[in-house]
Amino acid sequence: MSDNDNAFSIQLEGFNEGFSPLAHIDSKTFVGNKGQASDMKADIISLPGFLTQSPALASLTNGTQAGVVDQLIRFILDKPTAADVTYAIGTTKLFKLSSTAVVSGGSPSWPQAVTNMTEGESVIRLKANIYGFFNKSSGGDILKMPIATEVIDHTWGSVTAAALQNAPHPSACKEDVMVFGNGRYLGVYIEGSATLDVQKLDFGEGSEIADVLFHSNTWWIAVNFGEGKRGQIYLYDGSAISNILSDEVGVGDQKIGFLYVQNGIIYVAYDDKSSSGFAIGWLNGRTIKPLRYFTGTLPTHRQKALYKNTLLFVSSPDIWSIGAPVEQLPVQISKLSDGGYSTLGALACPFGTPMIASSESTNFRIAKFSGYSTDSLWKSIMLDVTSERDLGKINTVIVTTKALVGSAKAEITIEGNQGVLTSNTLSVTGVGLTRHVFKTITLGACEDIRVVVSFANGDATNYCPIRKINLLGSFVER
Amino acid sequence: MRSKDISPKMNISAAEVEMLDNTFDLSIGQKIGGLSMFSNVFKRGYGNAVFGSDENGIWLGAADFPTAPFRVTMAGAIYAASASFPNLVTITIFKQNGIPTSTAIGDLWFDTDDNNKMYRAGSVGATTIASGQWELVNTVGVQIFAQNGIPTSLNVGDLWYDTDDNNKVYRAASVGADQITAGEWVLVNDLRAADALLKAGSSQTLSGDILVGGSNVKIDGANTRILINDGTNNRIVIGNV
Repeated sequence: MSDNDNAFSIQLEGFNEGFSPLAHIDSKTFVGNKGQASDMKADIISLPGFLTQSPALASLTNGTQAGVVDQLIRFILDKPTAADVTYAIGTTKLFKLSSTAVVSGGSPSWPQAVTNMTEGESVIRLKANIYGFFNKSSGGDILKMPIATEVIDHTWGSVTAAALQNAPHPSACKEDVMVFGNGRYLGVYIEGSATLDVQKLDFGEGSEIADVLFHSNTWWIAVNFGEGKRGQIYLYDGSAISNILSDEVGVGDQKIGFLYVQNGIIYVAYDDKSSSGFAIGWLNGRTIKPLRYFTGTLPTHRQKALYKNTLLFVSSPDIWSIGAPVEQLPVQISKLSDGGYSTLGALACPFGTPMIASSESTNFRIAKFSGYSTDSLWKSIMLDVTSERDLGKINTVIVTTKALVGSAKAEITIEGNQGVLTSNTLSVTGVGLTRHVFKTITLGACEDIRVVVSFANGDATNYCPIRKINLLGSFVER
Repeated sequence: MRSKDISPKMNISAAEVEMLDNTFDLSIGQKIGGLSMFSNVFKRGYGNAVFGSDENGIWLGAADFPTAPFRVTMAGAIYAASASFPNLVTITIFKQNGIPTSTAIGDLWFDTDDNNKMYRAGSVGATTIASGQWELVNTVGVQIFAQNGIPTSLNVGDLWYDTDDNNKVYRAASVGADQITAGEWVLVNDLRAADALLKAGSSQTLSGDILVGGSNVKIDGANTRILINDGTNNRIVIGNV
């Protein structure tokens, strides 16, 4: 028998496929494809097919407690109101943002304190005004601020109509109509007729609106009942004049986190109580079809954004991505990056680069993706390397990358026997190199292996995109 | 000889395949063109400019059935904020003293200071009592007088009970009759009345005389006698002479 009779190869590539379908259940799963991960925090959407480091975070100018951000920013207006201008709302203040800084000072002086506000919920632009929905120690209110003057009317909602419930207040608008969640009620403001009704629709005792959006001439309203024991999505007439709901679809015994529409598809984030973790699904016909699952926390209406044609969302303490960068590639779900401090607030992408707010104790920040993070790794699914009575031994590892620049670096180790054994570290580095061959692998024959790629010693400026990892080994009789 | 490829292999569809709507079912909030076809509602239009149907019925002109200016319930009851039916005549009925101006052919006017005479408009804009204008509809009844003096008749056929002459009944032969004469007030002489008196039961007391055949035979109760006269002289007298 020649040596080759016992030889095997494993080729890991196609890293754009993200997590294994069962990674949310088993962090050492054997189920998946050759490019899929059992665990990861890495960027596989910026350069599809390649495995690269997570984006790092850079605080905006004035974007920490040393600047003017002395509280957790809870919502960022995802659509600029002018070139390089948007607004965000914290726990007690309204902030003005550019793509690089949190505005400080000016007239009126930013950030602006909002009277009696304890919890900002959402900010929306309707024609020439900004409206901010917020909670107080009891109840809530709506502020109104003309964009031209930036002078806040702190009690516009309660004076015009009535106080809000103390509850989440997702909001959405279309033309001159604005709808918003108000606990068990759906509120409607029609600017054309200056009509504000904070209780236009009533979903009943124990219900709470989780999110609203406009799509296909219809308002889509996600409602949770009984403390998230049941979720329902309702449709409501686009003119928001009717007092009757149009249609509905049940999510089931699950709590809805948010709704998101992209390219005509409605995505739903929900807590899949029948399984570990959470799910992102899409509305397919009259059903919600689960797409992928994730771990962490259920994101809210304040924690979603579009990034590189994928849906970005918060699952504390990280930022995740779901979707396909291009339609011809599979849908992926991946943990893209760290969110900053331990408590994550708003996530938005008003200027093309994601912004994330976070806090921890007395530390606060709002940051945006910038450069490359060394807090990044990727772990393949578990790979069975047995053949009948033989175990597998890795003899050679060949890593293919883009031509590396500067100090770009990744380190690869191979875990054996479900992590009991670990190989030596293989450093993938070297200016201009694209093929990295390692012939010394200090890992004995194993039942299974898992490839671990770490960017802990990588470079913050020059990334190390890995296209393929080829493992060459042989079966060893034991 | 090539080595054995033990790479994991799982067939994962492209997004454009995986996210193809293949339920063959109407999507939630299904719309075709401007039509919204929900589970219990059909709507065409936007805002209040909607034609729709649901379990209440059909409606037009509002977002919902209950506030629609036109709606028909499942039981067939119709509500319309207004309606115009060109082939139907709408007439006005006047009740007043002065001559009204007609608004449509067929309008009716009751003349309240003229015995409620009824006139029909022969044209739109009629303002006079004339042919083709306000035309009397002959529905006037008769006036019945009960008085001592001779009244002036208002209508042909008016009746007058002469209350100081045993309620004799006269009929007006003309309008404006004010004399008892032919062509004016004419006595209505019911000859059966006398017969009726004779046929009255016993124990009845008749006042005055009873004449049979003019004055030739006379029962004169006041003078306690019965007379037979030949036209000039009493030939037989029974009782007081």
